[in-house]
Amino acid sequence: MENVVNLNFDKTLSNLAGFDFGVKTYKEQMKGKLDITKEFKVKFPSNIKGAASSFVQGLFAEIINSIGVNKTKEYLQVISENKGFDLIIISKLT
Amino acid sequence: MQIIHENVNIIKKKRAFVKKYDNITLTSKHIFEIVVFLNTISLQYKNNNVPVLIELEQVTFYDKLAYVVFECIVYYYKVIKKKNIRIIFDIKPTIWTEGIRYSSLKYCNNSEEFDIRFKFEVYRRHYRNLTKYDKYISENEYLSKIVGDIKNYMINNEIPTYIADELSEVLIELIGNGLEHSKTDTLIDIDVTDSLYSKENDKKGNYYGVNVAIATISNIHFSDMLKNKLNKNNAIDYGKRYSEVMKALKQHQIYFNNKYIENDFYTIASFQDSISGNIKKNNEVGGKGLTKLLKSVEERAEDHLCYMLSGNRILFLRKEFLNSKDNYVGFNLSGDFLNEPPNEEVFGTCDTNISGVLYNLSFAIKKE
Repeated sequence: MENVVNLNFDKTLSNLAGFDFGVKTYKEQMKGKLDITKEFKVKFPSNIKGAASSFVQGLFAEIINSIGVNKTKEYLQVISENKGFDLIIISKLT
Repeated sequence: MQIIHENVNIIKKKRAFVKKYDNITLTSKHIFEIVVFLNTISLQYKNNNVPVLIELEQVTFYDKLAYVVFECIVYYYKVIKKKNIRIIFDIKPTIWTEGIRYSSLKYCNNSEEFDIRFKFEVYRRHYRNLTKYDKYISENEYLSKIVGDIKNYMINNEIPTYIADELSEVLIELIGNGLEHSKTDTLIDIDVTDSLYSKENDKKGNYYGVNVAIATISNIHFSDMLKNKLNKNNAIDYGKRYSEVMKALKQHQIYFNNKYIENDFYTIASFQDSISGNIKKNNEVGGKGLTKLLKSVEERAEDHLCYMLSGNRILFLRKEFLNSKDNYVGFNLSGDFLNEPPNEEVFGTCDTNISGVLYNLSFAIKKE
């Protein structure tokens, strides 16, 4: 089975911000659904075009605390229809 | 030039208390005078609602934050204390203060309109929003909606997308910090100048201003959070970066004097990557928002007037002092935070002590 989660957000949003919102999104949509000991994928919907550092850090806080930021960067693959979005997310992990 | 009326004055015909400024640049010193003036009237004439008239004739505000603070002061006395205050003003705008043409002060003579415009306006070149703490804690997507609005506002005002992306993120991080740390409402006001301005060595008039003021008025000063976090608990518990900060503190103690005080250290420490005043955030995550601000200032500004004011201490965010070493921003020419003090021009003292955390972020951008 593919190691992937598809995130869902309100369709009126184009950008994501807020550490607590990131943590909540992780708890509700990612926690317990991914094997973080190997490569995993996180898919963002097409309406999301940007994400602030605070959100990204909240979203991956628990994963980073478990396996460290380097391993998170190594295993994480961000999927999005928006060009360059994956690089935006990865760059905000550190 | 001159302050026309030094003291509280009663005009015989109209029986009003008058404070007038004529042909000067209004700075924090004058804001302090206005506060003293209003407070004196408030205390001495508690049950008397004699009108107060503030006349500003051909004056210039020093920067955007100066007039936004003035708006907040007028709001407090007029809307909260219900004093009868009227403003007459004829302001000379600059690239940093052109946004005053949209100021809620224009509506000061109509309390209801003033209240509405003080809290929210999105009109042409102006974005203003009194972001609410109760919504921040009850609506998960609150900050996400605001950052989307800010970004759209910037793009609609022809700010290039790559600048809008970066600047909107910086601003939402600062708004989020204000709401989170102070647990109270945070005001943001943005204007993009209509006019184009020229530089001394570039007379073609190709620069426009993007001016932002962010104000969180509360009992929390900027340095309080990190100072309290580290004094309450062992820094080792928060990881390597915090331990390094505590070692840096010991080094910096030899530099403390009347121009560089202990709280200033906690201020520049709070700006470091991966350092946060939030108890919940440990070494691995958190503390990125403020450093993003520093990079944005450095990369985007042809010219800028950027600083943070908390209490009576000002931290100037000047490009030449935002160099880095060992992943720390030095606030000095060498970029060395761990071993060297900040440059003596980085900190200043304001004439007015304003409780809370406020930012003036003004950028002169070359039109593409």
